[in-house]
Amino acid sequence: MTLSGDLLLGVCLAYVAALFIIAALVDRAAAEGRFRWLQSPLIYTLSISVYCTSWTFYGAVGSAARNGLEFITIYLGPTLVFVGWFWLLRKLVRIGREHRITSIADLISSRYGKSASLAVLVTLIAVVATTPYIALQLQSLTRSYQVVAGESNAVATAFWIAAGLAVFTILFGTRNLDANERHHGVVAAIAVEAVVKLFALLSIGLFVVISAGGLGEIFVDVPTDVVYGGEEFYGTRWVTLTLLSATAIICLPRQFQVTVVENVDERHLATASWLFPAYLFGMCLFIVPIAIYGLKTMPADANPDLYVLTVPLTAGRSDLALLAFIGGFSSATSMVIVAAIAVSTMVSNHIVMPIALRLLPSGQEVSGDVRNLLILSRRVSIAVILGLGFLYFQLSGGSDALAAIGLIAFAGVAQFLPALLGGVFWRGATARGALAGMISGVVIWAYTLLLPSFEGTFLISSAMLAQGPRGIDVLRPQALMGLNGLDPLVHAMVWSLSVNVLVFMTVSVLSEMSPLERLQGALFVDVFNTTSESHATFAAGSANAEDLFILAQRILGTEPARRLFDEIAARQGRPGNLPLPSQDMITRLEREVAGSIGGASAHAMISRLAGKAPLSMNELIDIADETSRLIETSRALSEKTDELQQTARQLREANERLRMLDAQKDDFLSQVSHELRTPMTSIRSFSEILLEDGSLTDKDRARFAKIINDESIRLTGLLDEILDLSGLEAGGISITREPISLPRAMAAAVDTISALAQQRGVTIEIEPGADMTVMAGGDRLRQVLINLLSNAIKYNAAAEPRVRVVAHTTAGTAFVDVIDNGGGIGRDEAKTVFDKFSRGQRAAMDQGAGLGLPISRAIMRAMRGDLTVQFAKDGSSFFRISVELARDQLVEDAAG
Amino acid sequence: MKDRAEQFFTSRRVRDRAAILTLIGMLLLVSPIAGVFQIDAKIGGIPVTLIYLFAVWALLIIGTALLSRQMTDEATTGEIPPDRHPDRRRDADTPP
Repeated sequence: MTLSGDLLLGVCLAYVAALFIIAALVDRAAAEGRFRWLQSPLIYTLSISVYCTSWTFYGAVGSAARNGLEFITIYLGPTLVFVGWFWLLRKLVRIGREHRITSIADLISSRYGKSASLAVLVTLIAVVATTPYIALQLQSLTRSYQVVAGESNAVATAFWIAAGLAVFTILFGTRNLDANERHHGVVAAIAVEAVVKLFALLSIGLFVVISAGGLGEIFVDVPTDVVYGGEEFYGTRWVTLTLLSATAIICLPRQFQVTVVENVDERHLATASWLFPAYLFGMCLFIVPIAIYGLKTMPADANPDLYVLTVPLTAGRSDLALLAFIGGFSSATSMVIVAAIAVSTMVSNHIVMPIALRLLPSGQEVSGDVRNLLILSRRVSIAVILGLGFLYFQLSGGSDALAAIGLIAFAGVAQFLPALLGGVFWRGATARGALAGMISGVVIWAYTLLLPSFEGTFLISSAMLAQGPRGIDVLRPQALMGLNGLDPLVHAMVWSLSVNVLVFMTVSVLSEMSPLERLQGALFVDVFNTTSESHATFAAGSANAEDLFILAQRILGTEPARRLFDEIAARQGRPGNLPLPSQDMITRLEREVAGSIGGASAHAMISRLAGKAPLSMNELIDIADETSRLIETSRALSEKTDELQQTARQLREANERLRMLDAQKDDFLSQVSHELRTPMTSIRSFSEILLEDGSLTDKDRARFAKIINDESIRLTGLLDEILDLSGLEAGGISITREPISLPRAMAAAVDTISALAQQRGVTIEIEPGADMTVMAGGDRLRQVLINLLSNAIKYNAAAEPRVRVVAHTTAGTAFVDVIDNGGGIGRDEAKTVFDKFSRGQRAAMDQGAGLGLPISRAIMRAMRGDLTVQFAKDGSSFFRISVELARDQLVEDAAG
Repeated sequence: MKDRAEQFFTSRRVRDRAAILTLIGMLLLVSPIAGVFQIDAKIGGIPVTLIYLFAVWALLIIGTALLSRQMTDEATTGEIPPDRHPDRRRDADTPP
């Protein structure tokens, strides 16, 4: 029995319409920021299940019916990869996020120094492997359609399916360019499809189990050999298939797209690590029962690949058949959509972009609308890839040979594996090695597996297949070097992968690495210990910020570009301006642009625009431990800079001080000569009078001689003082400190000055306090006291002049205050009173040289004491000497 | 807050367990050892090998589920998750 073609068509259209609506709603929700639930690990896991295509949905049952349990290897490989997610998948996802990877071609080319040729090679292999796979989906869709609706025009059906898928993919897959702005609508649609296909297959399985009257009943009278699949069980083919499927889950462009590129949160991978194997487990659970039930109940000529449809149809359950059909439709469409997105991204980024870059005259990337060109090229690529798939399907005439294409495609993309694994775990891997290994692997794959799969109809004739080219036996495609007796798939895998690995490693070891390659290698292998942002990929050079901004606008769009530049400018501390085109800024921009057009194109574009020299060896001497070295170098540099700045500051300060001292010295010299000149002038004039004027009386002569004598004495005193002061200031005169009694020194000073005091009618009061022993030079201390006392006496204009000398101690220091009632000095005057040759207002009329106070202070400081001006609360001022107490005095104080 | 050394130790233990789980999976599913369970017998009407394969598969899933919970715990991995990495913070905050 069949369903009507119109009904089926209607269901298909309704289903596709539902997908459109879901994708549109989700895209809108995401644009409005209501997309939190979309970023759940469940959605992520369901999107990974794009692995299960119609090849799984229909083909697994067929495979189980023909070859027993072997089909399960296709799901065990991915299971093992996800169980061991911590080592490989996690690293790939981290690299993908860190370096804004857009596809597997982008990852491999970025790792190997952003090599454009590697990107092209990977893209070409991906196209070659994906096109037949898409054709396979179209085939299974048309076949299932034919089975359910009866015979119809297969080609027309396939064409309309391909066209519909192209429209969907273009609408929802090319909304934006940036890989980091993920395809939320598509991912949600894929997730829904994943649920539909699992539900459909489980429903058919349960139906079969119920129809048979229990799971055990299905296997009654069935020899276990039929279930297991014969002798070859667990042989080389088992191992090869598991390895192949493990490789495919990593290397298939669509798997890389959903697992790495569309990943929004690294922790989702942890959930997917068990949830995705659980999904596969669910998909496989009823495969064997359906296959065995089909073998038992269906006619011998029925195609096992279609049991999923024909079993419910034969049982008269057209509703279940419709469900199964929708399940198969889901499996096929989700694969085609994601594969088309992944491959079109690769084609537009790695083939169209570089050609456009080369064709556009220099500078055109700024004025030309690159963004539109990219989106257009992506749309055209999608259409072309689906068109190619359709063409392939039509040319192969829907032959059974197509069924084998699934594993052949797996084996093709498996050639990425050595370069991929080597790239993320081995720093020594080089671009040349990857290129050579991949090319040799692909050539062998094509020769031993792809071309023979056409069974003598394409390039390789049947005779060549059987006897080798020109009868050369060792070159037989399926028995290379006489390697006989192996399954063709195992044979092809052994040769292609082992040669690939060997060539890759040998060439890597022998070839040179560019500095950029070394840098990228270090960043990829050590992705968990480094961040890409801090690493420059250009040597210093000049770039125009405006040009860079226009470029960013063209590729990222106006608003995101403006936001990016604002942020960089703010980080550079110049908000509101265009950022400076520093090394950091250009590296950051390249990274952002790479998220849209891939690493190699971004690098080429920016280096062209910035006119920058590529990184040279001298600038990165050894990237082997490049990270630590860079950090070390920059730290050493900044230390050196700090040191230099400090030294410069110290030099400036020293210079300042020297200038000041120089000015002081000039000042001092002019004052000294002035001070010396006054007595010298009077000595000269009086001595001239004595010599020349013979009419002088003896009395006058004696008076003049006395003046000369007085002036000489004053001159000598002045010179003594100057010598004393300069000696004290230069530290040339050391004062021996010894314990002396302070009251005794005070008494001696007052005694010395008492004659002067009497003469001027000044009363001196002495308050020696307790008996204090201080560390000082006795004569010098007395000299200072006498100087202070004589000042207080000489310049006291009070009606009843009085001077008090008061001693007291505080915390290990003794103080002697010399207080007079003559009014003290003003606060302004206090600042200059210790300057040489300065005379206080009270002494302005005096003949003193103005060196007494500076000398006294120098003496006190030389004795580790001080001489200061203090101000009392009533505003009057007095002089205070401070001097250290002797040690034994301290002990006594403490004891007391 | 656990001791840093203790954290690293725990994280290594969890990683070791994950490694061993993967090895066990490979040993039981892709090595000649798997062939040992190719027995011409049925339990409850179901061929033994079928039960064996699905049982190993189920155990792997359960084991991975238990370990992945421990591994996503920030304290046991000893690394900063990318979305909390200071350099990446901007991405997490900016709605696409």
